[in-house]
Amino acid sequence: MSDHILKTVLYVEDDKDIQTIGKITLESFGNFNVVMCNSGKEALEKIKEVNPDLVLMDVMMPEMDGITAMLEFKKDTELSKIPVIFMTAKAQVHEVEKYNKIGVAGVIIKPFDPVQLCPQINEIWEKFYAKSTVRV
Amino acid sequence: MLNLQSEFEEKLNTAKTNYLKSLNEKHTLLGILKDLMFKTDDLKDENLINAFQEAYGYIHKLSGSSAMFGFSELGQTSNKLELLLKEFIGSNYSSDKKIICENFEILLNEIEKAIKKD
Amino acid sequence: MINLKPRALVVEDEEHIKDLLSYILESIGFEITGTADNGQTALELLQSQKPDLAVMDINMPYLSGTEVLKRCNCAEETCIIMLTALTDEDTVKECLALGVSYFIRKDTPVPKMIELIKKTWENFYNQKTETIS
Repeated sequence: MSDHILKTVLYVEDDKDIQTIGKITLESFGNFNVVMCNSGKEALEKIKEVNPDLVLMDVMMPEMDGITAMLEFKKDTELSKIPVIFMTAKAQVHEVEKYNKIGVAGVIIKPFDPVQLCPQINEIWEKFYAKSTVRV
Repeated sequence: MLNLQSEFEEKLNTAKTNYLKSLNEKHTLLGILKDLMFKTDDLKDENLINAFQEAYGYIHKLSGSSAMFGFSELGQTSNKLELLLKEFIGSNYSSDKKIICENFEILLNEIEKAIKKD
Repeated sequence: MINLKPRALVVEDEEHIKDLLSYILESIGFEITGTADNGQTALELLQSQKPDLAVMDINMPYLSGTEVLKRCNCAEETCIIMLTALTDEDTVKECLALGVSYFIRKDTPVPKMIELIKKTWENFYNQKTETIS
């Protein structure tokens, strides 16, 4: 069981409907504190100030996609420690491999199941910190 | 597989055609209701109250359906009028009636445009 | 002979939308076992037919979609997809608590609507099958 507590989620999604469903799901079922961003660019602007425990991010977004945004986080020592979960409809094996290579903590398929979203996030969270403990 | 796809597309097209026919009917009905709604300001007139209620019902349905059949501008216009009507009926018919009349005209024009475009 | 098609209920008071939804569901392999144009009938059909999936408008005569769900408590057996404008967060919250599987806006383009229904059903079915096994 990890000592790390998951409280604040930076949720990055450009589709307004998915934003609504996702935010309410995370707040109601997960009791998370959710900060919304409409784009990868906005996420970059807000992430240091918000200092989230986790980033939940759509991959396909205009202006700056999830992959580019994540690679930008990785350039910063502190930000690179924050686990990132991708939310995507594009989850073929080779795509998931690509995401894993750049260091994503996990991938959740869209459209997500509201009932399963928080358990999936918690599972990825636990695995992420279990892995980092083993490495040490 | 190809047959199922074309059968489905045919059904979609039929659904759209039927919808356009219903838009024609709605245009006529809403025209009649408009006359009843704006003929008088007498709130004791039952015909006036009924006309508003009936119009609200049609416009509520129009809001939901028009966008689904690809008429997004019509959907936006009817949604706007639906909200105005809701407020008007909720305020016991005391809020701004003129703006409802104006938006009603816009809606009727939008319905005509939608019918003509297809 | 066992009927292998999953069964769907369409609950919508606007006739043209009801027809369109029925065509959409049939095109993705569902059998339409019933339709309802008001909440009371919807409740009766959900309880008597126990369909695999129901697409339900939230705004309906007699009983709203949320009222129907409260009374039938069927979201575990039936994949419920709510048709809603998604403007009222409290309603969305209430629906989620009642077990709604997903939400679709009426102005969603038909191809996207098909994708959403398909994937929501797949999620629900996989989850249900996992629970049983």
